[in-house]
Amino acid sequence: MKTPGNTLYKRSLIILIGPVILLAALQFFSPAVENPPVKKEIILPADVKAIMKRACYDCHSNQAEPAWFDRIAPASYLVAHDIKEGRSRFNFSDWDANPPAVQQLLLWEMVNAITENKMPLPSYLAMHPEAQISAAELTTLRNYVNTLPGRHKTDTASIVKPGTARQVKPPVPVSLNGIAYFADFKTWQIISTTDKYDGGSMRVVYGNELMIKAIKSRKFPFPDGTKIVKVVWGKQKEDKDGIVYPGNFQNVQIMIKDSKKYASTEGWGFAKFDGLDHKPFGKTALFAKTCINCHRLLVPESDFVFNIPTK
Amino acid sequence: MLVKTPSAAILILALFSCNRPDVPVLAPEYLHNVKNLKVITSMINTKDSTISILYGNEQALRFSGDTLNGHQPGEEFEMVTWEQKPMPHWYGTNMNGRILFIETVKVNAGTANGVNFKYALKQGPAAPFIKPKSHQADRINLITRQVAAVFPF
Repeated sequence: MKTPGNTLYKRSLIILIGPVILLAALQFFSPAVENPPVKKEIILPADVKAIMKRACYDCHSNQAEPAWFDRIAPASYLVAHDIKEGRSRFNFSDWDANPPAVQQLLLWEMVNAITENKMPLPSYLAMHPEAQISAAELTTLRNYVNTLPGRHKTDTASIVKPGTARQVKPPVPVSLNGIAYFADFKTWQIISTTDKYDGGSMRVVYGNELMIKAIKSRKFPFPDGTKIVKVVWGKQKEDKDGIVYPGNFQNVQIMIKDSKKYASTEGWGFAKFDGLDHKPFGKTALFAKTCINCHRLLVPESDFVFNIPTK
Repeated sequence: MLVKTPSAAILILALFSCNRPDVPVLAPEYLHNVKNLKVITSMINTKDSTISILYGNEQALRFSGDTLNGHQPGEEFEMVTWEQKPMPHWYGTNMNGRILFIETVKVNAGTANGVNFKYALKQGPAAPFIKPKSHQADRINLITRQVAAVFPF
């Protein structure tokens, strides 16, 4: 016979014991953190390495040292996810998997992710306050990236002009995700121009009419059909008046907004064509993931675009 | 059951860890509109902390893309100069901020088959008016003697 007391007792029991049983069950499927062998560890100055080891290595190396509470489900699922994702972005224990120019870009990206409080992940910091990077440590990291070879790189080679060398005309090059190069951007308005001193290049960035309208209306996100084209040159050596001129043409980069077609990259289709032969960038169509990873991390609030005029 | 799958647990934890981003304010006043002109080249001035783009009409582009010999009447140059500022969210890049001034040079027919240059200087949309540091003759020389940057086809 049911009595109100019995029912209340059973309900209390379920409320109290249910989560315990659930947690216990989750432990059986809890992912284990494995550390594959170290292939080629990054070489860093001792002070820089100490910061990276303390704040980044748990997710970005094959030398993860999860705490005891990281190994208990459900936290272990989050830890396993973060390590998998972290290693896929860059791995300090397999540093030579990236060419030198990419290694430098990654180091600048790390400094920016830390500056913007995007890394270490807030969820990681909540459980690992010792991973917090202080302002003085960030200065150490900034000083370090400013010593990288790309920082003061100048283009001293003779400038190769179209018609005098290897420039290839049509067929029109197409990126691996299907975006074809187009030249009509040259009549568009400029939305910004930059001195990218982290890698020794200077850029002019064009926006199509929809982009200009969106900037004028001061509205995010940018509408479908928005297009941005960035032309990139090396930097010649500064002249006696302190002026730096474009060196050789390096590449042209395109972003096209189509929220359905490019849903997996926040609505932006990316393309990059290298050199005067306009070689499409990347080995597979997944190259765009590398682009959006950085844009998603650092500029989500400006519809994932860096080169826009903002106050 | 509140948490059915590991991915749901991850999502919930991730949601709790999110920060609300600050939306930046777009600045259309930093744009400079030109009509029937294309980019010849750009310049970074490290001493003045400015960044410029030089535009030209078809005749000016032909001159700058060629051997820089023999200006012809009808060439039109326009150079816009912005102050430089650090790019938001990316330490490692400087970009243009507000427009400081706009300079135009028109090449007109002169005496004895020569040409003369008509120079004009205009303030950017934001005060205060900052003028180029060098003299007008030097500015004309700077603007009309640039080799065109190499563009994709």
